[in-house]
Amino acid sequence: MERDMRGRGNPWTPSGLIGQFSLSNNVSSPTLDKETEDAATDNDRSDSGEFVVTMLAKAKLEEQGIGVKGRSSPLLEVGTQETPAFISHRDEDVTAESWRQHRKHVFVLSEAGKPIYSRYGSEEALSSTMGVMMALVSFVQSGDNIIRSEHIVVFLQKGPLVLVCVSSSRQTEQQLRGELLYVYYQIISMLTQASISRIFEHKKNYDLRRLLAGSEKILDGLLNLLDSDPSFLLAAVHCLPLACSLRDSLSQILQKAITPNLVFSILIARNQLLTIVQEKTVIEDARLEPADVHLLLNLIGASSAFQAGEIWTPICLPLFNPDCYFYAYISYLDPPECTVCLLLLSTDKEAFYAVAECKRKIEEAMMAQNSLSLIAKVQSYSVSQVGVSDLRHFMYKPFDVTGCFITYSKMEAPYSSEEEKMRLLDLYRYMHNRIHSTSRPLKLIYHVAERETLLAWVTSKFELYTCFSPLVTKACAITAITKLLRWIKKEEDRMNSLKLVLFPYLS
Amino acid sequence: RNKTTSGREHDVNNVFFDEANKQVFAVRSGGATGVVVKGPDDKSSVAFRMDDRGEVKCIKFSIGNKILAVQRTLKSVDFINFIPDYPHTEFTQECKTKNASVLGFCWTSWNELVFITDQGIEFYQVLPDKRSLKQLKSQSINVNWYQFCPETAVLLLSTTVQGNVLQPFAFKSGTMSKMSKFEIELPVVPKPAKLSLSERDIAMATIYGQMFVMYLKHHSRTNSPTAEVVLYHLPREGVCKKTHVLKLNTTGKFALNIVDNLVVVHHQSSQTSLIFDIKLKEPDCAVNTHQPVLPARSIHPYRIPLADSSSWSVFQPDIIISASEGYLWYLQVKLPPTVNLLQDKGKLMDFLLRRRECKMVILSVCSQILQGGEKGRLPIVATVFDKLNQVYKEYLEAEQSYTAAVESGPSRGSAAPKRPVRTQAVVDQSDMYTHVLSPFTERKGVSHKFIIAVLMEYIRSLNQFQITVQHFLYELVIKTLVQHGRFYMLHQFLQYHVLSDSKPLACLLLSLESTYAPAHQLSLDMLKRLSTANDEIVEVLLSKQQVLGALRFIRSVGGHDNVSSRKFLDAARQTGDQMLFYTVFRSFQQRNQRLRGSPGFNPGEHCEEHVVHFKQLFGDQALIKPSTV
Repeated sequence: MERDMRGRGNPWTPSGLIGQFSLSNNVSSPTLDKETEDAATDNDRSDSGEFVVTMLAKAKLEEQGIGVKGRSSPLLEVGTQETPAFISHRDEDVTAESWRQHRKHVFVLSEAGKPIYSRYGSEEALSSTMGVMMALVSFVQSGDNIIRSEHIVVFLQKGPLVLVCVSSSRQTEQQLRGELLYVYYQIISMLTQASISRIFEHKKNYDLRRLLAGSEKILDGLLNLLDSDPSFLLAAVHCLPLACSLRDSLSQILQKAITPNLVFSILIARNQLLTIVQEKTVIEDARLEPADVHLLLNLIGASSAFQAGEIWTPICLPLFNPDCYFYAYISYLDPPECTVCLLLLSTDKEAFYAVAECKRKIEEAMMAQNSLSLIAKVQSYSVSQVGVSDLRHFMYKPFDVTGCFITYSKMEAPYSSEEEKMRLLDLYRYMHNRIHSTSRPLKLIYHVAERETLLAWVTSKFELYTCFSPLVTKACAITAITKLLRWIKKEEDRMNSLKLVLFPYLS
Repeated sequence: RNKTTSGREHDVNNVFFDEANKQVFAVRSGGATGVVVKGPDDKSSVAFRMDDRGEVKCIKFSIGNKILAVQRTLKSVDFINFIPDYPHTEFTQECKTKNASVLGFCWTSWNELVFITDQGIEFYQVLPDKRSLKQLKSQSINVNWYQFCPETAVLLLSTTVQGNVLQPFAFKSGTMSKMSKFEIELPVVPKPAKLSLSERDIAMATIYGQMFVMYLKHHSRTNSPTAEVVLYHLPREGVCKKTHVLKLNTTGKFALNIVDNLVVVHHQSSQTSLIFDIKLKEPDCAVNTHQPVLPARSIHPYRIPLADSSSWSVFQPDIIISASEGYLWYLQVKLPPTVNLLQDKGKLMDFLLRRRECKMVILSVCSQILQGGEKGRLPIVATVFDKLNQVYKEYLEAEQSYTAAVESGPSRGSAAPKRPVRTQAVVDQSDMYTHVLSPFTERKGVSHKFIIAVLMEYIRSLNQFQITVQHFLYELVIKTLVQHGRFYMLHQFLQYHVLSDSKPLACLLLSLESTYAPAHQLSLDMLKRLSTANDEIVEVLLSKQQVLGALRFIRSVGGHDNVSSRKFLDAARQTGDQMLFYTVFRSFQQRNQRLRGSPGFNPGEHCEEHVVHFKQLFGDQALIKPSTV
């Protein structure tokens, strides 16, 4: 316990210096060397050649202006807690009734029962609870025991990590398990699976929070996204609807700004995908999985650190390869609004300058084509454009070659409040679960709920979820769906023309 | 004529009774003959004088007291006009047959009468203004004696030497028709032949609308040990047939009356009377043989104690006269005591249902059956209910076809429809409810199972006869079920439509919601099935804040375009559910769009405040824009 406290306490040094942990010998940024050494002494895993976690002091970045290079990781950003809610979550009284009332708790602990993460409340305060959870895990595992609770309790053991979800939402066990897996992947994306295994092989009761300190926000952000973003439900990526020509021109810009070892160029606006361009030969057969894109989007969305300038950080794409790092160059193209973000992934950790040069080219080209202002004008579409007055919302996922993109209408009145949005999503989750039920999969569901009527339809070509006024009739809904599909077809260019654009391998 | 009975009370010399007008004539002779006439319904008696021209043998008014006929000799009958402004002096008609003696005469209308002589009959019309008679018809036949039934205007003549061949004649406004003659089977055929059938043993009566000739067949030592009454059915057309035999199971002197379609046989020596109902079939007897319905009982005296019955004269159908004491009685059947005399309740009900004053007795029998032990009662209850409803249904059908006939207007060739008479035997549902079922459900100490079983049995019986069950019976069932907490049964009854739908029933169910919550839905379902209660359904749903349900419902019945938007918006807003308000508001905007081409509300709909409220909640952009659809 004493040790836990110390480990946690370290980053909050009075000078505002945040310090840096490094398990690696080769830290390339000389300006951060001192801190690196500092952190390295705190760590007994200095022999690891791959594991790099870097902490950045925002103050320092500001001093230096933009152009911070090196193995800096925004994952461990601290001291810039801009969302008060997060603070209150960390500081919550875990014995209070309000803590128990949370809709969904997520805990991560090590096999030894050491706390790693809790969505609400501090891990220290929950260490005994986590111990109980570990006991429960072993109890359930030995002999086919089950836990009965008014909540759904889901355990997921991945290697040395145990992830627990305690939910009072209407989500199914399967859906919750999927969410825990996302949490696990997000941790992997920061540490890689191999290094986690290695750490715990070496020391069973290692306190992983040392390596994740400051990354809680990313996990918090992921959990919030999981609760609020329907694209996770459909395992698909949400693209900003964009005119075909604009998207093509953006792809071409990315395609032209390449450098050796650059494998992915990704353009993101307002947490939605604009385009992805990928290197041809290195990953010819491999595709970027939606889950990996989600992790990247979450990473960018959850942290404000990238708004400061250029970031060069190692990142693992767990579904692509859980054991090795990419090196991500992240920079916003439109400071200070920071809506359009460029993400360049390289396999070469030394390629910062080359990649930064690519960014410069991209920036120039976009400037020339006035792309930014064009992007700024793009809006998510309103469901009223479809022209069916009973239709309130829809989500559409085509099963085309690219496979994993989704589009949905804006959440508008009456789904304006957070509660209503959440409620609608819960309904979609319910529909999704019913239609994809393993025991009895369905093709079409017409579900008259208390406050709305939903219709879900899965064909070999698409998956469609629609929300109607509760006063809609079945015949009307069917007509509306036909009309909607026709409309989508017409708009498909604009909405879903995201193609994988490949660029040639440069040696 | 033997219809006169002499009495020597006071200074009355002779008393006559006329069966046709039911009038008693007191004739005093000596100097001028003084006559006092009194009928049963007359408030005051009629008194007059006439010349004493010999002893009066027979005296009768024509129908309506228009003309008085007096027989004083064997050859002629005298007449006196009683019509105002007509000459009052007597006139005489001698019988036209030579050497015949007049046995008597009978009035068949206000001015027609028939003379019966020992050689035949002579039918006359009296012409009071001319003070003469005109012969209409005559028939020559040997007559021993005669009987006349005023009700049917049928004259029965005893002919042949033995007197057992009876020849009936029917009279009707100026015509006289000969009916087919028939022979009474005598118990013993006398040798040599002599008059063997006495007019005392023959009586005519109408029973259940049919004319019968009743023959009191005395016991004979050879074949039948006891006396019996043999009934011959005398149809207007066709052959007279022996149809019923009433077993008297005793011997002695008897007299017959007909009361309320019952044959009452008085037995003089035991001073008791037996009652027969020819419609009551005896299961263990041959079809036409009847035993007394009830054990023999004495006549209950009315006001004055009954003295010596040997001096009584019995007249048809229901009159007993004691001339010596100066009394005329009508015989009546008191039904209440029969309840305990007849153990077989089914038979009792059959008996009672054919009686005139039966309703209260029937109802009391029903109440009585429901009393006491429950074991094995239900089949009896069922039988009784079925019998009641059979009669009830027959009446309803008659009523229905009458209504139908009236509505369709007079049809050519057929007579105007006759409204069916509702007899006391028609015991309807409200009779049963008021006098039997409702008090029964309130009675202490009866198991609710039995109560419900009885109620359901009654409903079952009504259904069996396809009689529409009235809602108050269902209400009684429901109240009883609720009172005993039998909600499951109630639910089943409603779901399987054992209790038929009606608005009052639905309202009752609504009121039961606080005791039994599902009653609310049951009520709504019922209203829906009735399909005439759409407004009620909407109100009920709105009162329960089920605004969407109300809208869906009114749309399903096609009334959506006519409902008040304000009413629904008020209700939606009252719930405080913004989502609901959004839905309802938008749906009415859509309606406006569809009906008027614009989503806006008309000023007359008074929805302005709701428009403001909607904008406050969801913003202007959430309103349906006129151009979008």
